[in-house]
Amino acid sequence: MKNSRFITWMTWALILGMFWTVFSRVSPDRPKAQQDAVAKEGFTAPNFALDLLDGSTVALSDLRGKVVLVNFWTSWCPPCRLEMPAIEKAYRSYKDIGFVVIGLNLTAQDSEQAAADFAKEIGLTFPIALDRDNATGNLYRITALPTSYFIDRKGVIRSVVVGGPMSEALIQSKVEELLREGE
Amino acid sequence: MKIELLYFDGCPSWEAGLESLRTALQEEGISASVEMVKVETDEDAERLKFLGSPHFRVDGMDLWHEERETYSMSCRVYSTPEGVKGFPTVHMLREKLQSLSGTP
Repeated sequence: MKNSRFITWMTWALILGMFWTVFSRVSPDRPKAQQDAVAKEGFTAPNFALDLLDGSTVALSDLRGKVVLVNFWTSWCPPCRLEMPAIEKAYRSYKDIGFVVIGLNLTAQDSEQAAADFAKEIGLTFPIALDRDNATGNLYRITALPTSYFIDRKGVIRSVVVGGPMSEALIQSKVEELLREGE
Repeated sequence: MKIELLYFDGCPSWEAGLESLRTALQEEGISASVEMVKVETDEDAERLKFLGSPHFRVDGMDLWHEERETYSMSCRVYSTPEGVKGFPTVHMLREKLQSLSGTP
């Protein structure tokens, strides 16, 4: 009798264990960031929602399905300024086929006016987001400016470029590669 | 003790970084002078493993070490108690100097 109860108990434990193993496993297709969101290659880009210079707002999560370049910058950072024309050129070339740029200004280390003046001077047409309280810079653990994140259509960070200025060719090759994946 | 500050002119925060470093050295009673290393090209940045201006190095060791695949011209930013800044606080520098010398 005791043996029978023990066998029944062990059978249930085994069945429950199998269910746990199957349902708690991580699918190889599932982005790593769903377990632990960090701003590194191979991980889902941490979400943020910020005001834009034009008064509207942007949320990274709303851009799923598009290839996104998030470029952290300030107006006083020379390499940031130098690479902006190349970023603008790429944006104009690919925006109609699913490419978005967010120029993420570390406004707490800059000023909204300086950011606006610079955007006007260069003729930037992509959205300029304002990180007024450093929250997004902290979330992405930015250690140098500029820093650029190339994010694929699934929202996964595929490449991080620290420093600059990035060349037109570099930006184009990274963007084209990610755009091709969605074809 | 060899103390280096790697910088490039474009990032204005290196001057404040140098001031913080000098204050931290003084408060720690370290009399070594600061060797200024100007980084002017991407080739310099690669060769020196430049992490962005201002970059602090003591006896060849980075005070805020970071592994990167490539090194290029950039402005370093530091996570301070007041948020992300272009240079570390005197307190942060003192802590790093203490950890190198093994004093609490």
